[in-house]
Order: sequence, then structure tokens, then C-alpha cells
Amino acid sequence: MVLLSIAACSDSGVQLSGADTQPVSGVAPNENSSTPGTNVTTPPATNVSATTGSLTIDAAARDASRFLMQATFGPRESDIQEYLRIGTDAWFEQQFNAPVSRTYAYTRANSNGSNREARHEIWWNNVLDGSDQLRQRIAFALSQIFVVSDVDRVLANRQFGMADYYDMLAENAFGNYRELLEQVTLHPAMGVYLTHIRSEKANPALNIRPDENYAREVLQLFSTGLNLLQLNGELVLQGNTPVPVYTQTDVEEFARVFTGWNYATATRFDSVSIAVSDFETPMVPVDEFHDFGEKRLLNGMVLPAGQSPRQDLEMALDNIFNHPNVGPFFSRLMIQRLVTSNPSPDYISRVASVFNDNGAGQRGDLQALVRAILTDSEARTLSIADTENFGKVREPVIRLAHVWRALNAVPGPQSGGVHRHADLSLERLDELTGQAVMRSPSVFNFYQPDTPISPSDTLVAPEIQITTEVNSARVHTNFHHQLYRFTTDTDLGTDNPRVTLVNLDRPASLAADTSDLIDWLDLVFFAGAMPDSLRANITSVIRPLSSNTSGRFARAQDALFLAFSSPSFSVQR
Amino acid sequence: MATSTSNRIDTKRRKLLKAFAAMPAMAGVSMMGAPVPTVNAQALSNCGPRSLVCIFLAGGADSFNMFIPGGSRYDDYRTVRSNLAVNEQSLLEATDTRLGPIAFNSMIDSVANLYRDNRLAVIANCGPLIRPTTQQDYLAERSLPQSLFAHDAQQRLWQNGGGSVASSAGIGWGGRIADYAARCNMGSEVSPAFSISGTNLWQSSINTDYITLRALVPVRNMDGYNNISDWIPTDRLSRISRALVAGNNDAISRSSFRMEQEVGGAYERALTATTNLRSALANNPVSDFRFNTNNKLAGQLHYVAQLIAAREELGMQQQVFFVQMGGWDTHSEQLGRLPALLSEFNDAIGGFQQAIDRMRKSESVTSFTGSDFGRTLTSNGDGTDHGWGGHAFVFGGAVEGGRVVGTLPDYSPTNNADDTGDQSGQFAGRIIPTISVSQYGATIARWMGIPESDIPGVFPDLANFSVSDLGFMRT
Repeated sequence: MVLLSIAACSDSGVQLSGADTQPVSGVAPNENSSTPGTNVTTPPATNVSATTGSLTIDAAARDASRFLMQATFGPRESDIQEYLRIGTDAWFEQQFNAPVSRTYAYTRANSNGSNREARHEIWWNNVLDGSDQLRQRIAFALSQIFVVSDVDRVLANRQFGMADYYDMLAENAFGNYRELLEQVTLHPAMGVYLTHIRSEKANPALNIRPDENYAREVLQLFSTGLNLLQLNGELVLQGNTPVPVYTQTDVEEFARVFTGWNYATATRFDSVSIAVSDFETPMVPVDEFHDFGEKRLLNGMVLPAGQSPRQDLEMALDNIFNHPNVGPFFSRLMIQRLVTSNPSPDYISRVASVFNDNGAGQRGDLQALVRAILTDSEARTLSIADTENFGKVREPVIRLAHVWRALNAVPGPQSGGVHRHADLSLERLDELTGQAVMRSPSVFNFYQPDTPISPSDTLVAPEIQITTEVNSARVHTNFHHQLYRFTTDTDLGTDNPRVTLVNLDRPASLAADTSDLIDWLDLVFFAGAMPDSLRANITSVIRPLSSNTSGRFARAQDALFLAFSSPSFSVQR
Repeated sequence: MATSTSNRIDTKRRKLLKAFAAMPAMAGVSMMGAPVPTVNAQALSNCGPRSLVCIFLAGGADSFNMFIPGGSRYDDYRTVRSNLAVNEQSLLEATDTRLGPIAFNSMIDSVANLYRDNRLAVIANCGPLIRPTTQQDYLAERSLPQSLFAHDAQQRLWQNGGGSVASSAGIGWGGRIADYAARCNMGSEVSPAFSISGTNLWQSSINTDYITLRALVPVRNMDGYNNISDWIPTDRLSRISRALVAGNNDAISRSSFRMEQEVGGAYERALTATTNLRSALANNPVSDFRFNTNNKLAGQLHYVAQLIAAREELGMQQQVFFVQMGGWDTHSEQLGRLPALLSEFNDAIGGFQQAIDRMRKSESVTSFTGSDFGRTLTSNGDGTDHGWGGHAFVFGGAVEGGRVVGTLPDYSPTNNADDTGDQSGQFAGRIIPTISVSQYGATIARWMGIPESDIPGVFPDLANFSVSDLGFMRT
């Protein structure tokens, strides 16, 4: 087994990812990007078998890389090194206490409210360089559960509200589910997206009823799901039939709860000028339009007549929060975003138990939940990782972020300091991958949690839903363009000077010995699980190339291209 | 190149082998080279040229404001829809021999014109049902589809083809049709099924993978494969091309990891599609189908029109398409949102049908709409909520059009036996369907040549209904 001497490489002058810049919280992209195109073309020689601080690709290193794939937007070499140095507990402490990278201020400063690119620019900057990697990863996961999307024609022009909503998710990532649910419910972006803002009590004379949209989706998608679950996530069955958590009548009752809420700054309820409406301040109650009647909710809870809109809302959210389905339902969704698409019932049960009680009697503690998911034996045991159904198809956006992070990507020389992909701007990335932050086609996210891996299969793989032919072809071609056209060492000539450039110095420095290069790729991009056939494939392609300077660069290019184009790179085990 | 060709055949062979296992009647197909056209005559007796287009209106389209009753029923409609009713000045009138006067929203004049031209039929009050269902059945919860009024569950039932969750829950009736279409397309290496709107259940099949394309994105080369790249130096390119193909092959056939196999399959289908479709699409631009590029449905249907124009060049007899238009979940601002949706829908299908007509393929192309559910007849103030039954449209030269299939629901808010009712027994305007998706689908599937003996397997609930063919297709 080849030793990779990461610390020694640092000593010998190789630039390590992140070693040269302090991650800055939520800063404008053009403030913390280095000037591209000035990198030294000739990589410094590196002694890969140096002795100081050497790192073997052993179980610990593989686990570190795996852990960081599950918990961040992809490990850089330096991240693996740091994690191994400080250990899991200290890493969590660091992450729980890191300052929150936000998107609002930058979006406010760089968008007119309708320009969508700014929100994506700052989001990419945060996930690439933010020190709060875990928080950002959780916020991205939450944005795929408590979905709002600016594909909606109103929200398309409310970029400040969209950014504020995302920051709210990030701020609550390590908070409590109940508080998160309330902030989600009262956020005007959600009010507009699921249309409970300005929903009013029934008017029987006109056959008008309260809006049922949020009432239904908050139950089905955000909290309990459709059917009763056991603690381990398996269905409760009566005979062979699932048991619904709620009926249409329950939806109608919750719809009555959510009546009488409006924009904080609106002066009228029935006709609101969108121009003056405030998308950043939580919605406020308006008594006149609230249904003050008695309401019967889940598990026999009765809201007495005459309560204020806020009393009704607080009690209804308590009612949802305390439903026993929330633990297993929400835990499974979060495990699927981070670790594996098909968690065992025991895994769900262990995590759901932490949701139900964090050990100090508190329900809904998200910090405890996140730690439980990532430290669970099922997430951490390598022999389980190597079983045929374990893991998940990596989200395409996270794969792209990983490539940029691990290859020290810098914005193109004429980019104005913001990132851009070869073929499309950031806000249109969904057209390339099927996914871009808060641009899902509907409240059902980019993919659904029960998508079978192939028709009628019991194995699920949500992300397979966007692994379509057209997306696969476009992502493949994007990697081709990234590696052969847009690196810090290629002469852009007349090519697009706005595209982000990757830096291949580090892999090129290892390429004198093909197995050193491939070991590095294996550790950083495959968490040590690169299939032997891919290793052999890459070797056969790059071995004929020279080991001089340009040959080493060519070896790095070809090896990375074959690695990123391989099906195994799309899967996290 | 040779490597890549044999690779494609390998995958197709795996798919075919699965198909053979299910259909032993087929024989005489060369496994390694060009297919030999000595297949079982009976299995392929229905292989005329046919293209089927599913237009799914995702989110639950308010079809009660698209097709509107005429005569005395209009007054009930107007009362119950209150502030959302389409007024009389905005109706395009037509007639049905049984029902008398009927009308379409004037925003969808393409639909009205096709109807008047006897090339469009309205399927009235259709939705997922397990068996004929009355208000008493609903109140007693007898044989009801699971998770009524939930988007995803009802989409699944629509696309699965019934009211009950079948044992083949992951299979769609379009996918079952595609299995037959694939047998008719022995001259083609490409799947007969195309989605221009992402993954969907309707086309899902064990034997036939559909190809997903994206509107307005031409099929391009996958750089690095097939010795094609403007950027990789030529002395390195051929090795890379071989290695890319070998890598996918390894993932598909040698990896023990299911997810890697599936991702490898997607790469391989993508490569097959680019290799086989590029020139046929370029040769058939269908440039006389002009549309606003903001009209996403039109962009999708333009791609469909190109593939239909290229049908023969691609060596295909039959094709199965899925397109989808979102945004129909009009809980709020319906008065603002619905006209924009209807206008987009109308322009798209109007332009599409004209393009098909100009190709002189009208008789061999049938299009039909589906949606999660109909919406409530009642208003929630400025929108409508999730319902159940709704109206659908089927159109093309093979449709017995100019008529309404089935019966119109009662639109009255009092003593309405077609309504599910609300929590307090009051009128809710959630209409119980009177035609099942299985009846609708089976009628279409027969036109696509699915043998009668196989229809019950595709639509298991169909046996519960006395009418198994709604008669709106000419055969």
C-alpha cells in the first residue's frame, strides 16, 4: 500500500486545499477569491513516500473521507487530514460552533429581487469555502424537505425572501424541529408557496372554504407522512393495509387553523399589493379572517373555540410535532440525504429514538439527530458500506461541489469573482443536473424518497430519479470541459474566461508514479472504495504517458476524467 | 467504435433476454448482429405505425374550468364556482349529440376547434377507481383508492393504470405499451419510449427503458466517447474512449453494487441515444412548428414532433411519449394563474397537432391528457383545492371526436350525490369519478395494439367495470 504523505507534501510546498485561505462566513464571492491563472505551471516535485505525517489509505483514512462525504460538500485532502488530527467529537464541536454562512446580505446587495443568479453565487461560495460545512449540508437537506422553490412564478421575483428562507433553515439546522417547523410555517416564502398566506375562514354563502394546501403538505411531506409508522419506519398494517395518519376531515380542520395570516406589513387582507408585501418578516395574524371555531386535530386533540390565531397555530404545531410518526418519518428522510437510501429498520429506530428524546428529555433536538445519523454504527462500519445495496447516489450538485472543493477551484479570470460552470450559469444548473438549490419542480422535491431503483424494485434510490440520460450526458460533458478546457494550467485562448478553473497541481505532482496518483484519487473522491476495475482502467490509460512535467499533467487530466465519468463516482457508499 | 457498438448490443441483449423470458413466442432474433425479422406473426400483427403522446398536467388541473356544461347545467356550474366561474362571454360553444350544448373555456380554442373538427373527445369525470363508486361507498370507505387527494399517490394511480395499488406498482401502463412497441421496432436500437419531462411512472417498465431528453437541449455528443473531443489530444483520445466504455460495462455487468449498475445503465443509454438520434433529429427539424421558447410544453412537444417525423428514419413503427406541464395546483390566485396555464397548454397542443397534420401523420398519432385529479368545484377564496374526478381530452386523426364520453357530474351544491361531501356533510365539490382511468387507458392501449388477452394484466381493475372499451378510438 502506498503511503501518501499529506503533511510532508504541505511542507514541500504543495498547496493544499483550504490551507491558504481562511474560510470566511457568508462573504461576497469576489472578496475571497484568489486571482486565477497565476499558478505555477510546473508542479513542484513531491516526495510521496516522505515520512513525516504520512497517511496510509487505511480504515481510518477511508472512514474520514467517507464521513466527510456524508457530512460536508465533499472532502478536500486537508479536510481529511484535519478530521483525522482532531477526531470526531472535536470536529462536531467545531462545526456546531462555526459562524453561520448566510445568503441574504449578498443577495440583497447583488440582486434587484428578480435576478436569480446572486442567490446561487453566494450559496455556491458558502458551500465551497464556508467553514460551517455541516450546517450548510444540513440546510441543503432541510431545503429538500421543507421545500420552497422559485420555479414558482411569484417567488421567482422574491429572491430576498428566498435567501432569507434558506438562511432560516441554516440557522435552525442544529436547533429544535418544533421551532424550525414554526419558522417554516410562518415564513412568507412558504406562505406563498403553499398558499396559506391570506387564507380566510369559510364563507358558506359563496361556497368558499379555507385553503387546504399547507394543511395537507405540512402533514404529508414535512412531519408525519401519509401512513402510520412504527419507530423503525416500517408501516403499521391492519391486515395488509396501511393505516392513514390523517383523513380528509383532518386536513380540513388544519386548514381552519391556518386561516387569518398575512404579510407583516400589509394593511389589507383581501387585496395585498405584492409591491409592498414583506417576504422576510414572519406572517402576522389578522383576527377578522381567522376561523375561531373549535377544531379537532390528530389523536383526539381539540382546540377550543375562541382561541387566537396564534394560540391555534402553536397548539396545532405541537399536535403535529408530538405525533409519533415524526421521529421515524423525518429521521429516514435525513438519513437518506446524508448516508444511505435504504437504512435498516434498526438504524431508523436508533435515530428516531434520539429525535424522540435526546437523552436529556428533549424531543426534536436536531443537533443530536445529526450526530446520531453520522455516528451510527451503520453509517460508520466499513463492512456494511461494502454490501451491495448500501449507500446512495450522490446528489449531482454535491458531486460538482466536491470536485471544485478538492481541486481548489477558482473563478475564471473575467468572472467578476463568481463561479460558473462550463455550459450554464449557476442558477440554471438544474437544467444540467436536475438539481439546483431551491429550484425543485414542485413541493415534492427533485426526487421522492420512495423512488425505486428500477421499476417495481423494493430497493429505493431517490437520486436515480434525476439520473436521466440527458442529465448524465450533460454532467459527463461538463466534467470533460472542466478538465480539458478549464484548468488553471490551460491557456484559455479565446475560450470562455468566466468559467471556474480547477487546479490540477496536486494530482499532477503525484503522477510520476501512477499508483500514487490513483491512490490519492481513491482517497479523496472515492473514500478508498474505488473498484479494482476502474483502477486498472485508469492505469492502462495513463501509464503510456510520459512522466515529465506535461506528461504528469496529462496523467492527472485523464485519470480525473475517467474517475469523474465512472458510475462509481456517482455513488457514495 | 467497434467496442462501443458491441457494448450497446450487449445491453440491448440483456434487456431482450428479459423480454424473451416473459414472451416465449418470439424467436429468430440474432443476438449479435442485425435483428432478423422472423418474429412470431401473431405477436406482431398489430404493429402498424402508431405514436402515442401522454400530456400530463401535473398538480391537478382545474379541468372543470376547461370543459364547461351548457344549457341549464351552466347555471349550477356558475353558482357553485362563485368567484371562479368562467362567464358566458368567455365560452366557446359546441354540441354533443347526447348532452346538447356544451362549452370550452375560450382560452383553449385549439381544443374547441379540434372538438368541432371531430378529432377530439372529452372524457368526462374520469379518475382512479377500483370499481364503480357511489357516495355511499365513499362515506362507508368501501374499495376506495389509497391516499385520495394526495398529489403523488394519485399521480401514481393514474400512471399505474388503476385505482388499487397493483402488485406491479412500479410499472406504468405506458411502459407496458412500450414493451409491445419495442417488439414492433426490431429495426431500431433505441427504445420506443421517450420522456421529454424527466422520470415518470407512466413509462416505467421492467423490459423497456425509456430515454429522457430535455426540451430545447439538442442531443449532443458525449465528449470523450466514440473518439470525439475537440480538446483531448488525439494520441490520448482513443484510449480514453475505450476506457470510458469499459468502465460502464464493468459497472453494469461486473459491479456488485446496484446503484453503480443503474448509473452505468443511464450513461450507456445516454450514449446509445446520442449516437443513434443525432442525425435523425438534425434531419427532421420540424421548423414549421414555431413556438415561444417560454412555452415549456411546446418545447417538449416540438421534440416529440421531431421524433415522430423521424419515426421511419429511426427504423421505428411505434413510439410512446411522455410530456408534462406543471403549475396546475391552483390553490391561490387562480384567476391570474389559470389563464396563463391554459394559454400555454392551448398554444402547445395547437401547434403540435398542426405539425402532425402537415406531416400527414394525423391518423397514426394520438395524444391524450391526464392529471393528478380534478379540483374542488367550490372555491377557497381565490383558488381551488384537491378533488378527484376531472375531465380529460384525447385527440388525433384516429379519435372518434366531437363527443363527450361518459356522463357529466351534477354541478349543484344541494343534494349532490356525485360529491364526497365535507367533514360536516356539507357540499365540498370533490366529485366522485364515473369513468375509471383503467377504462380510459385500456381504450387507448388497444389502439396501440396490445392484444385483448393481455389487457387485464395491464389494467387489473378493469374487470370491475361493465364497459371495458369507451369506444373513442377508431381501429
